[in-house]
Amino acid sequence: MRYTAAHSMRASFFWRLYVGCVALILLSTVTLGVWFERRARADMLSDLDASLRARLVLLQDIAAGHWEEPASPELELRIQRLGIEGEARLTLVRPDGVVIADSERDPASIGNHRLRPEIEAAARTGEGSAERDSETVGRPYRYIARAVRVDGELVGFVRAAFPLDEVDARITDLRVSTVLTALAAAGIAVLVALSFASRVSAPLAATAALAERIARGDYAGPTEPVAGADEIARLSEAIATMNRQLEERLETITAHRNKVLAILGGMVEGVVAIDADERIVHMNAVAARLLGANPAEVEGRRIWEITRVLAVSDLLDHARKTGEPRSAACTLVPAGDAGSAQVEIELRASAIRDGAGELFGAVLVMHDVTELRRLENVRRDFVANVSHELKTPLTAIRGMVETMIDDPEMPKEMQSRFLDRVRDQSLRLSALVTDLLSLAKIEANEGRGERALIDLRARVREGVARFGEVAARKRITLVAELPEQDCTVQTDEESLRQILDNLLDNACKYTPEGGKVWARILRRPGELRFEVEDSGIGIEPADQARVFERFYRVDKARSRDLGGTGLGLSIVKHLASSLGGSVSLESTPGRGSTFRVHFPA
Amino acid sequence: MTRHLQTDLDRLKKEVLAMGALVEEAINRAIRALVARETDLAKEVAAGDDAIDRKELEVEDMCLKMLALHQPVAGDLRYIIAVLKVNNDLERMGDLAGNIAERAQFLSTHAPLPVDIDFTRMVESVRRMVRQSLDALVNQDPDLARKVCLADEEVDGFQRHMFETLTSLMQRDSSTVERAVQVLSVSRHLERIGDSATNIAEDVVFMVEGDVIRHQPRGRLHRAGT
Repeated sequence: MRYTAAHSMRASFFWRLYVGCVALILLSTVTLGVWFERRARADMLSDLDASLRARLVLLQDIAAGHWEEPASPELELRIQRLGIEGEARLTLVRPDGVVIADSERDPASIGNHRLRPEIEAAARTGEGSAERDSETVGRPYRYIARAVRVDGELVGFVRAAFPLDEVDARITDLRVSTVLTALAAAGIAVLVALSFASRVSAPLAATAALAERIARGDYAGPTEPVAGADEIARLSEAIATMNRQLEERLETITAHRNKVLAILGGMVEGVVAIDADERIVHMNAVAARLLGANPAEVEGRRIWEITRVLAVSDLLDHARKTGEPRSAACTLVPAGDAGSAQVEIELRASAIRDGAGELFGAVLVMHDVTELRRLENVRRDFVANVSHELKTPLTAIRGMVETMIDDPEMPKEMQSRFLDRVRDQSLRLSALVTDLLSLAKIEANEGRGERALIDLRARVREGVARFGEVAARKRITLVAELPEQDCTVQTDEESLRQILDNLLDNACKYTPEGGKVWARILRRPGELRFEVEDSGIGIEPADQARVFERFYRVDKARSRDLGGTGLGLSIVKHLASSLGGSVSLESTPGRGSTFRVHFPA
Repeated sequence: MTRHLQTDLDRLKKEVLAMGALVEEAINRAIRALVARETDLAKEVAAGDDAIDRKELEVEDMCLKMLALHQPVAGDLRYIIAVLKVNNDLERMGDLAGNIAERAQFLSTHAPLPVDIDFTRMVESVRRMVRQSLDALVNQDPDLARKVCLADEEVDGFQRHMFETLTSLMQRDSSTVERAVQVLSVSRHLERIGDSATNIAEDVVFMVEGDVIRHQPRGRLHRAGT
């Protein structure tokens, strides 16, 4: 559309210039031709008159003395010859108008000539001329007549005439050649004008094309300005310069924009910006993911069309209208997920103002605080758990001791039962404190224990031996599956022992009587793996991720009955990571669990 | 005059979408309260129903005013009428979410049923229907709306399955009757939310194309949808 418009503009300029030139050429050619023809005709006529006059003088001489009598044959003959040779019609007329002789006709057949205009004029002034159709011959003639006077007395008239159609024929000849010459000249001039017009319009067209390309936003192409020093070259040079500057400026802007986009895109927080019309100006990838929108499609659409999270649109609306920042929290359920995978979001919206301080829109920052909330919960649970776990045995001990103090008469065996329970509770308390201390120690010394090269197989064998008795009591088959090769790891012996003990202890605790526990060492590329598998009760998927948390118990009552502190797996996890390794868990409820410790090889 | 109508139509769209957002949120919360057995959340949903009711009146008021003031024709008239109907459906969905929340409140204070009642898939289908019906409304997308109508059968299937499971459970173990009835009513409410979403989808098709696709065999719908 734009191209054709520009094209027709260019064409129109070229054509206007060209048509103007052609019109000028034609006008001057025609004017010149007409003027030339007129001039040629006038020249020819005056030449004709001069030659006719010369003949008249001759004729006068010949006629001298013959005016009175009727024309003699020899006079007629002479006149006829003279007329033929002189290519003119010659006539002698008496003052009364009677024709004495004529070079082309018999004088007797010719009527009275007194009233012919040229004769009349000659009678009056001595000479007369006329252009008219001859009544005698019937052709247009140029006549010149002269009165012949002898001693002041009119004796007759001499007249010479020349057929005008011959003059006209000559003029026509002349006109044809004039027109042909003019046409040739005009043709050449038109061709020259064509090249001139295109020479003028081509650089203009090139300049226009360059300007159009820039207008289309294509700054990258070649911008060779038109050569020369005229106005068009200057214009083209100016446009090329403008283009370079535009290109530079655009590059700067693009680079700046990309930087901003990269920053926004790299942010962990979601960012949404809207303008005064509630249309989305920008939404980064995180925000789009959180709101379940397609980032490519949101720009320019209303925020409330894109998300139906009321907190988001309300907050933005408030900031946009009042200019005050405001925060809120909300829970998002991303599309495609069932209730479990919800995301906790903290929102903060503030107004965007333009240079003049006018409200221009609003920007919203979305902070995913799911993990933060989870950690907060873990810590809160931990504090609550620690106080609870410490208080329970203390309360029991206090209760029993107070009962014994209140009742000195207490039977002996009841007393000893109470004291047994007090001892059990204090042992639990002590185990708990030991575990808490070792956790604290691990955290404090992370990775700073005494390391030595230790053969994992020997330690596993020892560990299995240590739990032989416990397993035998529950009729659990405890199997150590160890590879032939050497399984040496760089590790801290005490940490390793704690890991083995905790895992084997758990396996024996949560495996019912008659079950089976395997302790294995597996060599895998890049790691040495120690795993304890049991045929126990297993762990629900929902709990699997949390069993390594402190005090997290899948079944609180059962764990405490079994004498657990709720810290065992947490200690294993921390120890493994302090040794540069990691832990993992695979479990099917009702079928058993496999705990793995991965040591880097 | 026309510009005023356009501004009002924009505002109406915003309001009905806000209404949709409220309802969607209520449904999501009710479902979460049900699945995660959160009593507090259930109470919140029940309390939030007032806001939905107020919004419904507001939207209805706007629609009536616009009808009286601008006397719209053709597309605009269809739009406003469709919004009136959608508004109604949304309000009902809000009520149903409230009902689910009440059942969730009851169920979370009682032991879970001994059989494996998995709402996940049904809940997911219903949520998708609600989301898609509102998306279809926002984007004026009749194709998406037709998809919603087709999904209704899936939800009906879940509901039938739930009914059979629970009936046989109640026949086996009469102690479960009270809880099973509650669970059954939850599944029926879910199914009805799906129905309302279908109604909205049908209104969207009417709004955009002027075609009434209600009370038509689903087979025809399928052809039209593909």
